Amino acid sequence: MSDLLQAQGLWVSFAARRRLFVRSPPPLVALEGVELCIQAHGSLGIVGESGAGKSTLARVLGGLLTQDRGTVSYRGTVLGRKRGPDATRAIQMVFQDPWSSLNPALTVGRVLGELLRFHELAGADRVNGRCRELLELVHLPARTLDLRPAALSGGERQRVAIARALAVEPSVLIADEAVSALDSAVQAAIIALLEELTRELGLAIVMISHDLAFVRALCDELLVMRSGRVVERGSTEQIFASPTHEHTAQLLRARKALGEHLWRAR
Amino acid sequence: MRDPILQVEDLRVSVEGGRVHPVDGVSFCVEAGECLGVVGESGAGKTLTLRAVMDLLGRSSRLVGGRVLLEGRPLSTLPRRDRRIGMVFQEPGASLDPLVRVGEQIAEGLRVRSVRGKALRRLAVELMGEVGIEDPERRARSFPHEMSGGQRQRVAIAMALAAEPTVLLCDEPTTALDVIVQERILGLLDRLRQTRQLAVVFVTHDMSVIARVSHRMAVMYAGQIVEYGPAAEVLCRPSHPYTARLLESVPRIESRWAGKAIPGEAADPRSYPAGCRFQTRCEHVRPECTASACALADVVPEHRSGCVRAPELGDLLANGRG
Repeated sequence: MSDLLQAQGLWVSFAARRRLFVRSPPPLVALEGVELCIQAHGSLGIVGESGAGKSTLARVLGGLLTQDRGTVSYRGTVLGRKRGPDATRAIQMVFQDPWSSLNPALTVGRVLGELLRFHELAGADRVNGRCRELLELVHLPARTLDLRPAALSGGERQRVAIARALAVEPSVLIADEAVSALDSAVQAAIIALLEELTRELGLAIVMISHDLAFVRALCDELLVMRSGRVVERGSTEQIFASPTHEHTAQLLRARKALGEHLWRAR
Repeated sequence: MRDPILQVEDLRVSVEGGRVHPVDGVSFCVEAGECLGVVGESGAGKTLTLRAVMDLLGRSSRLVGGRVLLEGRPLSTLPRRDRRIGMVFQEPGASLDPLVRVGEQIAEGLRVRSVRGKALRRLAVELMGEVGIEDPERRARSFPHEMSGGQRQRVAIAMALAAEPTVLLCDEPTTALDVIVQERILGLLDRLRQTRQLAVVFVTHDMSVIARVSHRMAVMYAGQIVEYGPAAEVLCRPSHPYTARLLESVPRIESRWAGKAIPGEAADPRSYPAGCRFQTRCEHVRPECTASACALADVVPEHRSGCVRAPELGDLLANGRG
């Protein structure tokens, strides 16, 4: 089996708080039997409207949320409720909001350095050098090491978040709306960076986005979700050429219509 | 041109005790029923400009120059209740009080207009209907957390309309929404602009959205407007290198094009370069770019650019898309 990361029959529901005097609302089912697999060096895009369950799926894959039913396996081994350090390292996430995903009190050097020390990825004498290498990978100058997140722009913060994910030498990167909080000029730069990293480091990437243009640029495979279910899957180019599910067609139409205003004007 | 409803002249906002000017001489005007799109990167001063117009500057920032005219009268002399400007923010929940039913929150704006009694309830429900909320009578009793992002944004729009504004300021109102909901909200704003003859200022970083909504547009960079004119004209023939770069950064759905990044970092308001502020990132930079401050000048009538080389670069910029 060359499947790097595989999910089978994932169910996740969120129960409402128990009430004493009124009937509790039924639990909200966020994922209903989702299956996916991604090969080594693969690129999978996950799209869908808000509330489709994209982020829930990302969090289950990343080990931040435990599924009610179903399994996530990495290189053929089913991952348990608590992930070992190897699986944790192998599957890393980059989040939407670079303002809340970095500790404001720590310098970039400490964020990266502590991670390297904790996972014993570099000897004490190598930590600084490795931090510089990581920053170089994401095209940030070495002086960034001494800065705190507040001194960085949104794009720079997202680069630091990516460097942090890369520090533990993962084989899968899960990017959950990693560019949607950024300006279009910065978005383009981060997408180019992700493309370069997946190519050069041989990373597999799961890219979650509501902008289909980015997914098309970066991902070979595509998964379309709606209300916790996968409604369409296949090769990105094929789905773009001839979507079979009405919801996919609707997403494509909405995105194309928006783009057309600009290209018609030009 | 008809008389503008909102006129902003040479607006300057300072922070950090007056040394730093993130908004530095911004002028524009908007007519009734017209939408002015304002585009630029984060930190260009777009939001701060709207906040200054709205008189919502916090303690750390101060209006230090320029003036805002509402229907010809200086805003600062008008009592607050006569300032008929509404604002819609990016985060659909942020302008709503989580503990108050949405109908009640919309009614608050009506009370300012001295609407009382039964009419209050009726008008609040009517407003919710006008912004496209189904079953408004029932939904008026909802709390914000019981609504989706798109519905919350509709409520926020209804709240802005409650004060019967003539001007509507929109600060990235659809950035947090998915593409389908975004189109519905843009359609709603378009319809309201027409039926109520609102003067709309629409701030966004998304060129596609600008092309969708605006009649005229302003491109902001480092606290200044660097290009200004009819949207179709500016998008078709960008006359500032920054505008051309922004257009190149737009991802395209029709091909595997994720957009081209603009190299370099946005100018730091603490140390703007002398002359053109885009010079550090501009591929067309020449010695004359550092020499003089860049005032907007007509490229063709009504289409103005802050680039001193605009006349000679014209064709290059217009054809230079990726």
